[in-house]
Amino acid sequence: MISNKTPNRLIAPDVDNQHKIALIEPEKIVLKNGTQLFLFPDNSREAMRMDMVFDAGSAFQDKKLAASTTIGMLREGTTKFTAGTLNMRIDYHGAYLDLQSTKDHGYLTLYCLGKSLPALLPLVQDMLTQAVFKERNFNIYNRRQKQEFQLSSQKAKHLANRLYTANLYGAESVYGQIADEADFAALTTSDLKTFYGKHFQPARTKIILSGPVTQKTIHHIISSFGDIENTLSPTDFVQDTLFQPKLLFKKKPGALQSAIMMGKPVMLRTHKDYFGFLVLNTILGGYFGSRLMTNIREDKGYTYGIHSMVSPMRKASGFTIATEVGTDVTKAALAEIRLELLRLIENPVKDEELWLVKNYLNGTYLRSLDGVYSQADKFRITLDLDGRMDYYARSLDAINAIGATELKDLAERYLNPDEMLTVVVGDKEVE
Amino acid sequence: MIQYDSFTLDNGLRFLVHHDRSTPIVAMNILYQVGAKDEHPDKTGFAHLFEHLMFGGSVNIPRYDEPLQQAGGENNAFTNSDYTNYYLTVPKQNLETAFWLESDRMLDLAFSPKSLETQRNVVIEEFRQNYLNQPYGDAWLLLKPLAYKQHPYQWNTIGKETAHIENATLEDVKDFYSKYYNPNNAIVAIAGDVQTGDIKKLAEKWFGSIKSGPDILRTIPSEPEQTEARKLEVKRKVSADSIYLAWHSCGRTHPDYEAVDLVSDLLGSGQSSVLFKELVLKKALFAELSAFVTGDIDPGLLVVTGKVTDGIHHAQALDALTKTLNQFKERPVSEQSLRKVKNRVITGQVFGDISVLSKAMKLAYYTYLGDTALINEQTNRYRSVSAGQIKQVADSVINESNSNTLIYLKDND
Repeated sequence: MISNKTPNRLIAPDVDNQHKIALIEPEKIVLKNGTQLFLFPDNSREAMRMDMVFDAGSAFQDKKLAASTTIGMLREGTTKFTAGTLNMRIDYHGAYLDLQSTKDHGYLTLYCLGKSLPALLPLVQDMLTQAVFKERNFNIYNRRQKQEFQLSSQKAKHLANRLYTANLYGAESVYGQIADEADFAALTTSDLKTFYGKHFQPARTKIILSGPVTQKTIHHIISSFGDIENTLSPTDFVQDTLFQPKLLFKKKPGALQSAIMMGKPVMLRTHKDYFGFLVLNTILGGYFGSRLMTNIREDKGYTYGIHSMVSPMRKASGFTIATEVGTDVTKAALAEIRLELLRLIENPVKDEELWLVKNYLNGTYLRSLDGVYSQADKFRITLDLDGRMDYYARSLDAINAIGATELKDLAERYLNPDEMLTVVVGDKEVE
Repeated sequence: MIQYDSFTLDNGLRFLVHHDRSTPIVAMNILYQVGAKDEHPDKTGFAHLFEHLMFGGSVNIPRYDEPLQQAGGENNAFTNSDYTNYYLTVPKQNLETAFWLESDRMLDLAFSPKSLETQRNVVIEEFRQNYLNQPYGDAWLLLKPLAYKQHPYQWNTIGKETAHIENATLEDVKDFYSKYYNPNNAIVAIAGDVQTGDIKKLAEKWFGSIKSGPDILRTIPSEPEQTEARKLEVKRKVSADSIYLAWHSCGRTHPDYEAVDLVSDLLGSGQSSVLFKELVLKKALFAELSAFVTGDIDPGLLVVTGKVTDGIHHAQALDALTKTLNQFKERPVSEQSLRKVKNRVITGQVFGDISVLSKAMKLAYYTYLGDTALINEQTNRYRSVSAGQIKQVADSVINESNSNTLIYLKDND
């Protein structure tokens, strides 16, 4: 139905944003020890991805750095395999092992060809049950991490982020705890062994497989992880958020740019306002055409980029605007950010902008749920909720249903700049 | 295997089409055959600044991003020394929006002084954010002019200095556009659930009437062979000493390219690589070490870079690094190690070929290299590299007289 006429370049071609997103509810298999396995099969693929999710984020640690160091050191040797052997075998199979931790979770992700998985599972099994945390390997690992920390301490953006996080959640709270250099010296292998023993219980692990999953694959997973016994009961944590709006400035002499972070704690993912707030965030600073980008980058040229984001976690969520701007325009940029927040509070969003943002978000959902790997990625997030992909259908329905009046109401309740924390790290003081 | 159709419009614009029925998303990639190497030495950073201006509105469309977002699309672009690449993804039913937008900015730009003024500022902030206000951010601004004396790879895509960007005029912008942004200097690749016949119609409809430009005659000076080791030492406010070693190597389509790439993987990709194992994990002289090739079209560099462990003297670290490199050259590479690095390349390609966007990018890129079919020969070219070839390229590239060493020290004052 493409017309061959000379095109009218002044009129945009028609668009259709009624997407049918085929959400995959994964098959769930509970192994006899309680390990949960979720499957996103696509047998037309060679690429296999295995995600393992542990209740092992920094919120669970009794000592700073214990969570990230424990998971990072899983590949540093087990009773059966030295670090060298683990590394050589992983690399030999062309696999990539990613070990990460967040505030809530520890994540082990293995990327490999489907045919290599059986050869790699025994290594992973040993990492989860027999990691040794040798003193020598720990010293090298810990010193490297410390050096990376020192490097990031040279960046205004990271300094701002630390100050911001501590003040957003409360420095004494589990989400607000921030490591400093002394914490590296205080950490010992016995801290790691304790954390490992408590939080890497394979029986409480959730495993997500995406790619060429067959009966054989499932069998390999069951025999690798299904017989390991659960030894401890699950732990939980409490987040006591202590938040006060204020302006904090940290001097970084000679900085050519100021790093700015501004925001406040907001609602959990399960709150009725959450999906609407996602739309509001998108309008403000959640995409390239957002108000903050349009004003502060595209009109004023103060920055290379400015964004706002919602970071939902289990026990708290944060809303944050972040940017790096030229030192001389720091004050002007802060004034413009304030102006954009007030505009959302004072004036309803016009139909055309709301239509655009909804279309954009529909496209974003379509993209981020394209194929089994993307869906598995999105599924990981729902594990803290009810573990159903249906969450994204509900989310999209709520996004499509929201109107300008509701958004204005949300802005009044959540985007008042006077209720926000502002952190500036740079060469020139702002007050 | 990435299957594709290709056709060329009368104005010289080349199209590649790849069918992937598994996705509702279509990717469109437009590669313009112009990069930082085409810049005048006194006006560097221009190709990249120009990339920013491509989003400032075209003759019939005031803002590029808005209609694309209305169509549920997303886009971005990058510039390197060799080319400028624009890419987008859009729900398949809205693909025509992409044709409309991309053809209009190939037809004619709006050239607003305000857009130039703003983007000059944005790019200067980008320069500060990523190069000047960043620990080690200027390392490549130092390393490239050390390694290249004639070839324009001596400057970075961002430019030599912010003054070059400040001085760009609207006249420069117009000249650059009329010289390089023509259908005969561009390649369009489309991947997704599409039919070649439909793409042909869309291509004809939106791009068919755009006039082709003059042929481009490039006179890029080639880099003379380096005959003497070069060394530069600088002090900066950073947290650790750092070492950068760069050797001249071959171009992207040279028969040795894959072997050199595998040498870089053997040396410094993954925790079982030679340098990482020996100098980070065993001797703990470095906190970080990696090796890679720059992958440029004209002869590029093999680079090893590392951060020295706190408390270790940089000379001791460099000495150990040199020794380990020499041992690597002396000992034949084992079959197991060679298979390992090949397997890593293959897995990387399998994961890379999942997304339609990366397939569209690759199709345009290999076409620019001169032969689209290379896209499917790449894996075999890696597979066929022998241990003997590894030794031979390691010997010829990793040489003192061919080396460029940047010692980047922390300033304790």
